[in-house]
Amino acid sequence: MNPVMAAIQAAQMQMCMPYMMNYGPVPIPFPMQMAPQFNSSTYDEEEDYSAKEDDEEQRTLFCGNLDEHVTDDILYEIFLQAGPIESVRIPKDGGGRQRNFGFVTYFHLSAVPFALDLFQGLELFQKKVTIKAQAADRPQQRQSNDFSVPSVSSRMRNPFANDVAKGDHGAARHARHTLHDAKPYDRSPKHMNNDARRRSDSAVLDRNRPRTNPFLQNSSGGNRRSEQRNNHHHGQRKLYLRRQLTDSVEQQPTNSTFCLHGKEGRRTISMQNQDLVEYLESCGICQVCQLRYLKARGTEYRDMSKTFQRLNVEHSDEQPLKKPRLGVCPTCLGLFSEDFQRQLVEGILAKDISKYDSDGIVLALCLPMTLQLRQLSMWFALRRKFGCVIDDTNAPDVPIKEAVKLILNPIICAQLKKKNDPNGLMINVDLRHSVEAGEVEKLAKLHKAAFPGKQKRIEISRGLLEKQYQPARIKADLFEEYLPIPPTAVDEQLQLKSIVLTGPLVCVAGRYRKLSRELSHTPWVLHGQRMMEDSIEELIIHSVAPHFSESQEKIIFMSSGREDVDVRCLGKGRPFALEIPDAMCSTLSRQLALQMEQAVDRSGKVSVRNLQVVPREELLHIKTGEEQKRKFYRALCTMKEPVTVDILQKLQISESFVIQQKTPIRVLHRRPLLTRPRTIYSLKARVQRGQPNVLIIDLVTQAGMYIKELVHGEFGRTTPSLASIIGKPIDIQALDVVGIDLDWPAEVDNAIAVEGEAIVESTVNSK
Amino acid sequence: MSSLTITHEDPFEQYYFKEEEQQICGRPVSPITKNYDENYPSVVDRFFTRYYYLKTSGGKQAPFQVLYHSNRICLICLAPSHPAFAEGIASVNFDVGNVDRSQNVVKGKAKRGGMVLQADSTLALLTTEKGNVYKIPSCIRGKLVEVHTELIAQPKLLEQAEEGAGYFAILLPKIENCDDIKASLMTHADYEKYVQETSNIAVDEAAVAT
Ligand SMILES: [Zn+2]
Repeated sequence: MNPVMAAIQAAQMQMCMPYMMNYGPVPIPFPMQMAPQFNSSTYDEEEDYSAKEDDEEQRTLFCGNLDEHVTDDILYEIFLQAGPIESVRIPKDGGGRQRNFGFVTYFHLSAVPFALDLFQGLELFQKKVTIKAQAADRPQQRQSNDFSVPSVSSRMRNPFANDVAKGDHGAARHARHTLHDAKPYDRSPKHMNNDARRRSDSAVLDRNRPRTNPFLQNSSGGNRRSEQRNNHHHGQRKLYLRRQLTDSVEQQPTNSTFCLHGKEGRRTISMQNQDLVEYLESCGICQVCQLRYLKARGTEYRDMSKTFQRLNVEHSDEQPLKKPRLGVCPTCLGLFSEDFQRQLVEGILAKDISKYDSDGIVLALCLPMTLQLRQLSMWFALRRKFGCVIDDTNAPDVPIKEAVKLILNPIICAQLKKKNDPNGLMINVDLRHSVEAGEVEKLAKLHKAAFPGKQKRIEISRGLLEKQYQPARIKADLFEEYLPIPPTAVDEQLQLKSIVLTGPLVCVAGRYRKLSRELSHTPWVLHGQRMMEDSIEELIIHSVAPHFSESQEKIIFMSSGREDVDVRCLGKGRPFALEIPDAMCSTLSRQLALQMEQAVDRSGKVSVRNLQVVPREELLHIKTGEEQKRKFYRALCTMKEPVTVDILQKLQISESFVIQQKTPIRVLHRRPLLTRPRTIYSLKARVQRGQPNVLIIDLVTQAGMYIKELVHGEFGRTTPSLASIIGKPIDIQALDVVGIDLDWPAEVDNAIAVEGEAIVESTVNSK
Repeated sequence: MSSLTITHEDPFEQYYFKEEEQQICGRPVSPITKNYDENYPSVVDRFFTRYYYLKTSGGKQAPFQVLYHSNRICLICLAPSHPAFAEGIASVNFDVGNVDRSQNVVKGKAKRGGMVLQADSTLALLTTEKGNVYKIPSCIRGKLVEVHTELIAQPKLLEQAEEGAGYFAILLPKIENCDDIKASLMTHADYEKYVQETSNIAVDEAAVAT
């Protein structure tokens, strides 16, 4: 079973909610699909919906104490049980490592108390997740409506259970985020530069963030009660616009008036699609961007003239000829121009893309910050022109990053004959523009003026821009002191700064046996000096890596525990895995795997088997539940006097017992002093014929036990110890690991499989 | 299992070790018993260096042993010739008057919160059956990591235990102080010489007395 799904199901089982045992897609009502009539009996619920834009914090759950293996996807799938989710976010630290907490933002306020109740005691990867309402600490004006929990029966009811009937299933499908639609994995947790990381982060965010569409179905006339409701939420003038973009038969015939509802008869503020486009055109905005401001969806960018037609927008014939010559579109700086697309494709083709065998690609653009500033400037301009029809917290356009996915991604994929795959080859494109430096400088000054309280050397990042810079938080006049409204046209379009290809992260797993008692696990360096020539890590990497990667430095070797330098590992061996970032190749034939295994075997020190490529999720087998794993050992022990039958009998134990072990002195200088309880499952002692003071003891113990200290007791610091059990000194001379109870990775005998593969190949050839 | 053979049966018969064969890298794996070494050194010999420290109190000198691990961890013990062994050990107390060493707590890898001790700081008080009280010195400058509180309940451990198991405490000196500390302590050879001399003096004194 997919381990991610397994984790999710385990979490569900643990919650013991009967309806959850039957795991299936949870219907997600389209949040905007609210009943047009205002009805006092459903007041509270309606208010929840209408409030959604402004109270993100109140709709957000904080999840703490997350295991490092908890991904956005896992959080999404689990927390979806309490209602539709707007976004999921696990922040990363400066080094790109995932933090141990995350945020889940629901569409609906009412999901928050339900989720708090439902997920109480949730454990993921054996760690109890702390769940709090993000806004819990703040004063709650709306408390009576949002957070009070009226009765037990309603507490346990999914507040969205009723939404199935009125929910828009098409929208539900759109908003649903599946595991298959996963983010590109971090290519390498250690070595990736921050820029590339930021890009992949933003890709995740975008994918998780459903389109917030302020255009709601409503009757053009509106009604008094809705108006009252709007006024009720003062300062939150919502835009109820009528829009007909889809071909749905159920919808009303097209009337292309965008109209602030409720004011009809007195003062009508209206914005025709045609007005909007004409204004944009006058600002030199390109047609793609015009469609962005018309909130066009996926395929609507393909045949633009058809889309304009459907939206009842006409371009006069002369305009397209004249206007584009005036300059580059001030909002996208030519990003969506055909000329730029051509440059981008040429740039990518000039790279050594054939080196990578990946069928999938993912485009990661790093855009200059000025692009974001220019969207904001246009936003201000539209508000000046059309007034409060334009919301002050929800951008009036389809964000550039999303538009890149809708427009550029398919073009690049088609040109390269690759499919879009978040786990495929990452094409990192860095873009620059000549106005960037100057405008960012002005932004820095604007920032000081706009947020004078926050002078703690905050670096102005793209994330900060996205969050803080919107008309609701910054006054247009202040903005205009530093930067023009609307954005000015430029002569030059965006230029390619660099294109870097990053291959996918490939994981190779297997089991190793260690035959040498003079071999360290990883390179052993003391005071800058190599203490031993080889290491298990190097022996394996040297044989496996060249097939996948040109450089071996960034490969991470991990295993299910490790043994001391002087300990052998026999039996079926110890599971291990290599994380290979920027891999050129993502598959491994069994024949090649066998050759790699044989190459390692030739060292005579380490032997490898079951070598195979595995999905990255499976690596959590190595890292999780370490303390639950059993380990099998054989120890060569000696006594000062001949062993007696009584001693042998004391060392035959088939029932498990717990010992207390202090951190061994040999590691105490670098580890904390702790006393750990550890379980011994069984003991079996035998004596060497002809050497009555030599004992061979087989032990089955919980992982994490220090066996050498268990035998001699280390001055009484491990109790009981074998020495204290027999009441006599006993020492250990040699130790072998003979088994690790982890059935992973799958047993693959590459030697046998090669014959099968040869047959398959020959049949392919004979066709 | 025949009753006739009972008297001749080897009582260890069912306990003899039989090696299972295994092949790895195309070769048989050598049995673990091949690693047996008759002259295998003890735990202390394998990992520690023995140093000694002399403490003079009430005009009398008493020797203490410092087991210095290769990772610089130090165990503080009585030297084998400490007079308390001859007098019989009655009790051990880590409450040394102004502070109770057994309340020492360390946190984290850096052993935060551990008491910082000087070589002559008193670690514990040892009372013999003769009623003499010996101050146990820290012997080295370092941070107190662990106190062997088991000695409070079982002071006789000191007399019975294997070498090292009668440690009073574990100390961690700073890396940069290690050379000075080692230079200030007696080596094992110095100590043997010292034992020789003091026993000669004792013999002389005995001779004078008679
Ligand atoms: Zn544009």
